Amino acid sequence: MEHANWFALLLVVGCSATIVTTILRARSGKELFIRRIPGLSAMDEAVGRATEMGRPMLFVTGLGGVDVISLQALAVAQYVGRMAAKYGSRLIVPVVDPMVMTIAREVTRDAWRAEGREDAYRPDDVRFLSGEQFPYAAGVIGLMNREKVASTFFFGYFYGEALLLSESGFEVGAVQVAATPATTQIPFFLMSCDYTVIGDEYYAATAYLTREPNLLGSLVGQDLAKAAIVGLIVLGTVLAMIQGKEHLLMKWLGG
Amino acid sequence: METRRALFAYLAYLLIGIVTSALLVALSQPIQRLFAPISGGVHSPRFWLAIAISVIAWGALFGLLHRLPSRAKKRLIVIVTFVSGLFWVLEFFLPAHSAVLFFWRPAHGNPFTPLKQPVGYALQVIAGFTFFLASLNLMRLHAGHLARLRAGWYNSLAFFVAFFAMAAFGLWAYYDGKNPVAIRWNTWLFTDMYVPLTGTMFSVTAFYMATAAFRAFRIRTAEAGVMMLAAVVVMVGQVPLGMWFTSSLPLQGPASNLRIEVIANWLLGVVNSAALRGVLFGLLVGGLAMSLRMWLNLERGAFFDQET
Amino acid sequence: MSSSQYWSRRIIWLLLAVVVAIFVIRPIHLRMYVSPPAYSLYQAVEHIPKGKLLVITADWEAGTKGENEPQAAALMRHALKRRIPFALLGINYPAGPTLSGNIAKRLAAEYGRRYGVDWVNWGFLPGGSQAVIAWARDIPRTVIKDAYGTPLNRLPIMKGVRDIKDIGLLIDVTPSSTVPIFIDYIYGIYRTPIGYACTGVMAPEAFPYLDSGQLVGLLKGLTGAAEYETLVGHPDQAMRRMAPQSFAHLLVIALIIVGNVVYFRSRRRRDDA
Repeated sequence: MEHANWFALLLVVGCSATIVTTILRARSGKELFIRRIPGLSAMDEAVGRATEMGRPMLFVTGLGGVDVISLQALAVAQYVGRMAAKYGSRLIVPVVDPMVMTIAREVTRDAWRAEGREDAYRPDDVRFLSGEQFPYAAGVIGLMNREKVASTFFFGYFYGEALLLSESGFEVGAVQVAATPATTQIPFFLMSCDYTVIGDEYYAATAYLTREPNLLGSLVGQDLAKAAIVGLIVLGTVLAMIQGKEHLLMKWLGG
Repeated sequence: METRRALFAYLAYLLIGIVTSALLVALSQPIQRLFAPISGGVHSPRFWLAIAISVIAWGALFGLLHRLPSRAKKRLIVIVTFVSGLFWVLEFFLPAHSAVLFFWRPAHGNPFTPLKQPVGYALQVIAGFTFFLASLNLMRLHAGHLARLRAGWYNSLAFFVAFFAMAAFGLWAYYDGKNPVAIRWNTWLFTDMYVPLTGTMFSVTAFYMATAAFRAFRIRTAEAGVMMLAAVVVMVGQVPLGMWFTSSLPLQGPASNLRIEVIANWLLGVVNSAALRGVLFGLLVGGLAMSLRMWLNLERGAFFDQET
Repeated sequence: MSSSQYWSRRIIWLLLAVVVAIFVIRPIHLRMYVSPPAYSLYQAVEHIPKGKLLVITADWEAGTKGENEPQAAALMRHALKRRIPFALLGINYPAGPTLSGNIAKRLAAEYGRRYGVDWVNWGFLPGGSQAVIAWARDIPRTVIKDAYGTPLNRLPIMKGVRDIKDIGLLIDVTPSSTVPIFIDYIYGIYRTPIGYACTGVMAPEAFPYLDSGQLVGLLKGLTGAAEYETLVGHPDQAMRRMAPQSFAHLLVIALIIVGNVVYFRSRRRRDDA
């Protein structure tokens, strides 16, 4: 749709209000629970392994441009970057989009600066390889093999190159953590990576790693919004069983 | 205290948003005229004047931004982020036409919609500059490898040869489409080299798929067994040889439901769709939450500074 | 990586290469059964209202040529055979219209069809979803010239083509997720039917749209292309590749079984020890 209909407006405003409310409430200091996500818990272990082995880490941000998915990936990249700076390890970030490269540079520089290790920061470790999918994959595979990376992190949106990258990482012997909202690539990451973060756990990554109240509050709001959507699905299913495909809810939704 | 600060901050954002939106609406026509293509193109003096003014104006703006203190820069980023997001929010959520909301406009049309295209063009121009920056970065990196004759320096040499050859012959063929030399070289480089190379990269997926399947598919639990059975049915049901196994069953009637391709399509269309829809809803809500946090400067922790 | 893992991988790759090579060198014909999504797409093309254009997007590039090229070729062959005027358009990969245009030129020559009369290549349209919205509202003003620099108003096929209402069906041939753009902004606003021809790995994501009626049909990877070739009555490259693909699938299933047998045997040995 080019402009929202009233249902889209209601749904987005409702979900947004819920999320903002829970964020503001979370600031009050209430302890919020988040279940264990093995893939995210393993990130510290992966960084530690790279530090012990004296080999670099690789953080792949996927094929997306400057969008929410890539920004989330960069937020996690900064977290990993801070740990790398703290332990004196190296983090290579190959990117496919030039705009993401400029942001990634700033993000990783900030990570090193935050740990007081700006002198150790290598700007060339954040590099643009290619704007095309398979040349980029070839470049990343080459990097993995030449640099003999100890840990790889795949965070972002991936397409057909997902299996190529993860199997190459396996061949090199790297510990691999993958997180992607691309549902079609999750099976490939599950097969080849040591840890995989599935579905909307991807967006919970920053909340999980930093335990910031704002972010945890946002997760609560997301869960409430999802519960509301589930309620709509149940209502729609019941109405469809009674009234058929052109039921009341469909008419209201303007579908 | 913090809640009051947050409230004041949001009221300030709202005020800035309303003022900026009103300005955008009021200046809608001049903005569209400003971004309209200049007739005459590169041959028009107006074109070169526009380039010169843009370079001077942006240079001055960058100089000013560079001199700002860090705190002011962060505030500016927050304001620009909010206003930019507000434009798209208002454009999408306000209706296309409304005699009540847009009473002052001749056709009562959404005042933000005509501005979408100039904004889109501006984003494309920015993307073009960043592409230039990224290519420069790549060349600098490889030039360093070549100059110091680091291990694998020949790969850097190959990069330069490939980059300039492809650019040169590609542009030559584009601007002089009838030149046989340009066409031959462009065809050889693109169709005969680049296309098979990228196809080869994709085809490696099949080999990795086979080894990953051998290594990773283990029936450790009952659920894994069910998943394995479903995977085998879908794989076999997609190819003619697999379909041949149940080809003796009729194509119509209840028995046709036991044909392997029918079961495979049912698994994909019903079971898989339900699971995908569930994951998709979660992802969309997560994306909405993240976008909201960034737009309203509610993001915290790694990557985002404390709210000022 | 242990020595056994190192060598087992190489042996598996060799086996796969041999299996595929045998059936590429000595092709065998396999009977193709057409799935409902492919048949629906075929019917949608057959029933394009007279006077309306078919749009086949060229949103694929060299890497996925193996799957998308046969799909695009089968669709174009259908259109050329039945004299359905079609246009090529790319919104994602600049090289896509060039690759699709080469296929169209070859097939048009086979059927004696003329460029500018029976088909047109609109080329690459940058700008993503915004470009699609503008294109739907006014095609000649958005596209302006074809992929070869000819103004659209000089091409007979463009006579009477103003906007999306003159498009009878749009089929997105792509390995990426461009189809939601067309579903949102073309089907969602104008109710123009949308078809989808994707790589095999992207197909599962398309089924919710097929189920809801937002897609009229679907070609799943190389199998979908082979199904379409069967429907058009001209088995071509996709059908030739069905035998290697079939045996490769069976090999992978055999490898999974062997892997599990090895796993259970080693587990039993460990338990006994």
